[in-house]
Parts: sequence; structure tokens; C-alpha cells
Amino acid sequence: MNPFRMRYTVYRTQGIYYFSPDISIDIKYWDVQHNHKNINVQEVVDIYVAPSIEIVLEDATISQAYQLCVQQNGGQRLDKQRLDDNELEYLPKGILQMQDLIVELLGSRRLTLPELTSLVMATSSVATSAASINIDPSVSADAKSSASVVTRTIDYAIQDLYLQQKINIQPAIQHDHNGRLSCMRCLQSSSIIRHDCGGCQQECYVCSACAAYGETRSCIPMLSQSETCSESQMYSESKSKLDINSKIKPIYPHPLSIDQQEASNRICDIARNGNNCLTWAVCGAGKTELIFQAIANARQEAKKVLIATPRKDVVFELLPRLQKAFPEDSVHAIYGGSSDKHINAGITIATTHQLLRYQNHAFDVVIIDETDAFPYAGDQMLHEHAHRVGKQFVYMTATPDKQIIAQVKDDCIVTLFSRHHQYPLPEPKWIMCPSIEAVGLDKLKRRIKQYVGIANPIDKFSNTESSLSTVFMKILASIPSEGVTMVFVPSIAQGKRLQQLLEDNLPQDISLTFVYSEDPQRVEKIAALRERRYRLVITTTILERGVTIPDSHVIVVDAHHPVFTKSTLIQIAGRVGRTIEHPSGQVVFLGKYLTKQIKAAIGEIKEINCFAAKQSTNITNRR
Amino acid sequence: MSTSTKSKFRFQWKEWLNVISELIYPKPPVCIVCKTDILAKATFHNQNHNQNHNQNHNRNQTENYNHTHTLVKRIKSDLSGEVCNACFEKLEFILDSYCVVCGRLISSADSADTQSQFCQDCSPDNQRYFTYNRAALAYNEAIQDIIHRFKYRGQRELADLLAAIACNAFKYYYQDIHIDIIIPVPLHVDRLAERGFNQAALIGNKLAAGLKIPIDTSGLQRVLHTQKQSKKTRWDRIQPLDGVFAYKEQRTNQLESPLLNKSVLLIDDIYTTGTTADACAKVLKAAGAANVYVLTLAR
Repeated sequence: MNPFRMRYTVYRTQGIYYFSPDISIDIKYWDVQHNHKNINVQEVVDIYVAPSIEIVLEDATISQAYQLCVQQNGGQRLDKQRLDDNELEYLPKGILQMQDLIVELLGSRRLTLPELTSLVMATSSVATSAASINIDPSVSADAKSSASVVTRTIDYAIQDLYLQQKINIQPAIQHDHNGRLSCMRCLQSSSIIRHDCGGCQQECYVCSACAAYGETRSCIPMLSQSETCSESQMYSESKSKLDINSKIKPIYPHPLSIDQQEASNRICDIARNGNNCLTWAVCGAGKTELIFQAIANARQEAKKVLIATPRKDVVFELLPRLQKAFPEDSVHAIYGGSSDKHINAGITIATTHQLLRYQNHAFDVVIIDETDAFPYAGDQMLHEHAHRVGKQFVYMTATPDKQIIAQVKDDCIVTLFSRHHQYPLPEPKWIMCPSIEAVGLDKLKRRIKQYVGIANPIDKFSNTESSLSTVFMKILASIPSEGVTMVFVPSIAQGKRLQQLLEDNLPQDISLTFVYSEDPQRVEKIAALRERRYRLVITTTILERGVTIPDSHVIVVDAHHPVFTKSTLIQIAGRVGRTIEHPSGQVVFLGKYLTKQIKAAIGEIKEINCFAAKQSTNITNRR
Repeated sequence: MSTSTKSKFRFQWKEWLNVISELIYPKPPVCIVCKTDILAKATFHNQNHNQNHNQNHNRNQTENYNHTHTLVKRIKSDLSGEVCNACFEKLEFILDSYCVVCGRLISSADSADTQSQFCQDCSPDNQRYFTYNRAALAYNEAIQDIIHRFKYRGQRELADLLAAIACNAFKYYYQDIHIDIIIPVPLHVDRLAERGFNQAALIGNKLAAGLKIPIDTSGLQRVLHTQKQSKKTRWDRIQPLDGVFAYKEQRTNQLESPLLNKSVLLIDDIYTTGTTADACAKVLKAAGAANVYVLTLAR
């Protein structure tokens, strides 16, 4: 059956209501269960009677069926009698295989039936093996195409798991405990729309908040593992891979500095006490290495670790580093467009968007990297989901906001204010520059200078050709010509304009480019940038974090623009001087006027440098 | 435990505060395409826009003509407060020079050498079952993105935008032609279940309500499940879709088909090769329709 058009039958047996897409599966199940009871429990005569199944409602959508069952069962869970694993032999082998696969794919996630079906279909080996088994003898194999046989197998396996109470089936949109309709995936109730559904042919509800992940509707079933299943089957894989007795030690790419070692030890102490921890380390301090020891400690206790980050680029960067650090453990990355197989890895790296699909408390330790980065910062939904999936949290950021500092106890904030090469952060300069283009007086002055001596300068003045303003030219000239200059602009339109201006006004031999989020060559350009093939790069805020370009200088154009917040400006300033070969560089903020954000950013960098200088003198004194 | 209850309490307070503040300071309108503040864009980027305007003076002169056209003006006034200027300007309207068969925009360069009323794909000998197609927009990245989000990302609110375009395009192209019934191109039941709605029917419903013309969404049906047209190669696309569509008539009278001697307007989102429209028109003609006209959003 098409997973988008599932129709359920509600029936009653022994006073309890169940729903099923195909009642013949249930008849078989109850038959087997009762026959087994016959053999084992000789004394009880009542149960010898074949189960009576009374159909209550037919051709219902999942939400109708589920509501009726919940109502009639009165909140009471299904009965506790279940078949043992060795009693399941009545099932064909293909179904058992399929059940294992479904449980494995589902893991600790919540998936809609269409999502799960397509995942199972993608796992081709099982699909073909299932197709070879004929479940229903009345339907000959050639009568139906193999795809429909597979979907039937999936339906059979899922229904049987439901009867065994290993998985929960519920509508994807249902009433929560407040009586409001809410989406079971994104847990939001604000953006649910009533619409004429093409799937169930009647009016039903659809959630538009998480439509980008595939729609959830009230007529689509949502599957998740129930508690009884999770204990027995979920952890088997990860346990077998890891030898608990051996001591887990992370392998560092380079030895930690004294400051780093100290911070790492503090994080471990805080984590051991079960508290949440905030790691506040400046850009270029080596944040990732700080948490390795804490991860190792958590893995020693067989805890599941999740590293969540808002950006996909960061996932790609973290994966090889963690694999190198923990070669014996399984490290798995999940991001939009990854091969969607769920692996019970010890260490999972995921984008924050993927956390929507996980169940509550699916992980023991959750490390959130770059907490202040877009789109995680300011998104209430992602924030809730990140905190839902874990029990203990470690936040990492270079620019914490007040909210996150308030979340963590005062003595659980670990700070690392010196970079790994011990040089201070480069301090930004603010220079007033009303426009990068020559306008008004600026233009007039330049024109007069250019055309003094020409017979009729007035015609030339009215020429609309534009050029760079004097201030901007001076600043460009003041930056050392070796190394890469990054020019940050607030919007793509402005970037394109600046690119054209620079191309017109700079000598031809300077290679320049413009990188922005919608750029089709974005990845190649950033790679070329790392190889230092460009001398001048214009970019939007996409290069604000996660990029290390040695020997670079930064100019921020229109720093008064609301895009450039305090944390963005600090991150941008942190691009400079990250390597030991080139520990310093120029950072210039250009703007029409000095905003609070610019002031705060410059102030904070100065404060941090002051603090770091004190710390380092303390350490040298102690020695 | 105490922290969680505390935060919950705080969150509720915030929610209430939001509700009250929204009563006093209503949120400014947001562009339904790019999700940014329409008013903020008008003020903040004004300077920037002016600069661009100066620079591309020559290009804008030709576009200015385009934007003073009655059709464009009407659509713009219908959409004011819903779509921002930047998004609207990305749409490319087909106005005067179009192919008489498929409605494709014929650029001035093409028409200069041939002076033809037909585009490369359509020739007078190539007989179609439908009379002709008219499209409101030339197919470009902007409309492709909007339709993609509408169809595959389930952003139903975009139906208003597309219906406003379709409605005005209808008034512009079909003002002299009598249309008895509107029929949207149907989806297969499986695809309909997967997507949750039929994009053509959504637009068609709004169009029918606006123009007070009856609509028939159940008669024409897609009986064969084929691969998405958008995923096929061009060669596969122009292969006729025989037997894919069928007209299931609910005959009240034994002798009379509901479509007999009626002129039908077929609605679809995108016209690429015309294969789908042609297959539908063939079925409708067989069911008794006198004329089949086609209106699509993009060509």
C-alpha cells in the first residue's frame, strides 16, 4: 500500500482496541499467541478459546484510528503479554529480517512511514530478498510488481512490531497534552494549517514549520521505538565494538599547551560532576582539542556522545579530526543529504537540524559547537530540540551571549583567552568611511584633480562613471601587499557592486574574487582561497567562521549594517593571525557611524587581550 | 527539575508578552517569496538600489517599458504587501511578442531575422489538440524556484501569488474568448497522496473563484503513473503520453457528455514541451469538448 495513503481498521479483541492496515496479519498474530498459551499454561481454560476479533471501524485514517484506540483504551497501554523472541518462529524469515532492519534504521529516531519505507527501499539487498518471499499465497508473485511486494512486507513487519509493542505508531500531527494540535516531528503548534488533503481525501492538518524535511500530515503515521525495545536491541551494536576494559585515550594531532591542558582538565571535572559546561575560548585557541578528553571519559562509561553544530561545513571539518583522535571508536556524521542510515555510533556528529528526528534523551552527552552561529542562534525551535535529545551539555563558543551565560552555573564556565601561539588577538581599528564609492565632494575633488587644465571640465564632471572613495583607497594601500585581504560586505548585491568597482579601479595583476552563499563555485573558491590563489577576496558573512587562511587581513565594509553584530565582528576579527607563522594582521572596520555593536566588539577583544596577558604573566610567575 | 519548570514558566511569560506586543505593534508585512521584511527592504536598500539603478541605466530603460505595461501593473498592485520589489523584478513577463501556439516569449533578436509568429518548437504543420497556450511568465530561475518551493516544499501560501498572476494573465489573454469550464491538469492518485495537493487544482480553484467560472477537478484523471516530466530527458518528454489521462464522465443524461461543445481552459504550472497539455486536450476533445485552451504560469 502507498505509505502516504495508509488506511487502518480498528478492531477489538479481549477488550482492547487495536488498529491495523491489514486485519489478516493481526488474526495470525493473535492466533499464534493464543496457541502458545495453550501449550504453556495448561491450567487456564478460558484462553483456550480462539480470539474473537470484532471490527469497530474500517477505512479510517491513522489519526481517526489512533484517537479511537486511545479513547477506548482509556490511557491504559496495550496488554503486557508478549511473545518471546523464540516464539516468533511462525513469521517467515524475510519478515524477521525486515523487522531487524526496521528497528536498526529507526534507531532512536522518529520517522514517518514514507520516510522509513524509502529508507528500506534504498537498502536494496533486503528489498530483493524480501521480494523473493511470497507472504501471501493467494497473490502470485507475477501478479504484482516486486515493489508492491516489498511495501507489503514492510507493512507486515511494521504491524507485527506494533503488536509486539516494539514500536509506537501514531499520527504525525495530533493533540498534545494541552489540547493543541502539534507536529510530532518539530513539536511546534504554531504553524499547523488545515487543508484539503490529497492523501486522505478529506480535510486534515499539515505542519508547515518542518515542511522542508518532507511534509507531516495528520494522516501520515509516525513511527518510533518504544521503551521496551530500546533497551534490548539498540545498544547491542555499539557495545560489541568497544572494549570497555581498555582505557580510551584520545590521540592529539599536536601536544596541548599548558593553558589548553588546564582548560581540558577543568571541562573533565565539570562533566564528571554532571554539570553543564560552557567553554569560552577565543578564535584560534583550538577549541576542538579541549573536549577530546571529556569525550574519552564519557565513552569510557559507554555514554553516547553527540557533537551538534549549526553548520554543515563544520561537520565535514570535525569528522576526520575526531576519527583520527578516536580510531577505535565509531564516529558517524549526519547532515542533510547524508546516507540516511542510522548507525548506533559512539560518537555522532550532526547538524542541529537533524536533531529534530531524534527521540528525547537519545544521547547522554551533547556538545554544541558554535552555539552563536546562524541558524541555531535565535531559532527557538532548534534550541528546544537540541536540549531535548540530551542529558548533559557542553557548549563551545568564542562569542557567548547573555542567554547562554545565564544557562550555565558561574563556576562551570571554562575560559581560554590565549591563542595556541600565545600572541594576542589582533585589535580592530574603526575608521569612518561613509561610502566605498566616491560620492559628492569626494568625487568632485578627485575630478578637479584629474581634469585641471582641461578646457571644459564641466562636461567631464557630469560623467556618471563611479570610482572608489579616497578613504577606501587609502586603506587598501595601507594593507601589506603580501597575504590575502578579505573584504566583508553585508549583502550579496553590495558585494557584486564592490567586485565591479575593484575590477575597474585596481591594477589587472591583482587576482580578486567574490564568494557568497548562492555561488555555485563556492566550495572550489574556498579551496582555492586556502591555497592562496587569490590576493583579494570579497565575501559575505559566510566566511565569518570555520576558515583558516594564513597571513590574512580583514576589511569590513559598512560595519554599521545590522548584519554585523558583536559576535559576527569578533568572529571576523578572529580570522586574522591564526597560524604561528603569521600571528598578527590588520583588521579594519569601516562604517558610516560607530554603532554599539562595533564598540562592544572592539571593547571585548581588548578586554580579552588584557585578561590573557595577565594570565600568561601569572603562569610564568608560578614557574 | 526546578530549572526546567522555571524556564518553562519564563517561556510562557514571554509567549504572552509576545502576544500583547503584537497587538500593540503589529508585525510588518513579510515577502512570501524571500521571507524578508518588505518595508525594511524598501528603506534600507534604497540607496543601494539607486546606485544599481544609475549604473544599469540603459538596461533599465528597456525594462521600464516592461514594467509600465498594464498586465504587470495590475499584478503588482494585486501583490503589493505580499511580495517585495526585488523578488517581483526577477519575474520576466511575456507581454507582446510570443509564439501564437505555445505562448513562448520570442526575443527581439529571434523575431528580427524570421519575423515569424512561431517559435522554433512550434511549426504551423505540427498539429496540436489544443487551440493554443498562453503563459504569464518566461521560465527563468526565479519562477523555477517559486514553483519548486510551492510543489516540492509544500509552501501553500505561494498559491495566492501564483493565482494572482494566473488570474491577471487570464484577463489579459482570454478577455475575448468565452470559457465554459476550467479543468486543472490532474495528478496520479499516488503522486497526489505524496504531495498532499494538486498544484494546478489549487491555482485553478482560486482562478475559478475569482472569475466565477465553474471548475471540474474530478472529471479528468491521470490513470497511469509515469515518471515526473521534470526528471525526464527532452527526448523522453516529447514522446506522446498515450493512455495516461482519461475522462471519467458522470453522465446525468445518457446522451450528453458534460463537456459537449464546451470550450475548456486547461490549467497547469509549467509548459515545457506541451506533451502533457496535448495529451489532456486529446482526451477532452474525445469527450466532446469543442475547444481546449491552455493557460500556464511559465513557458
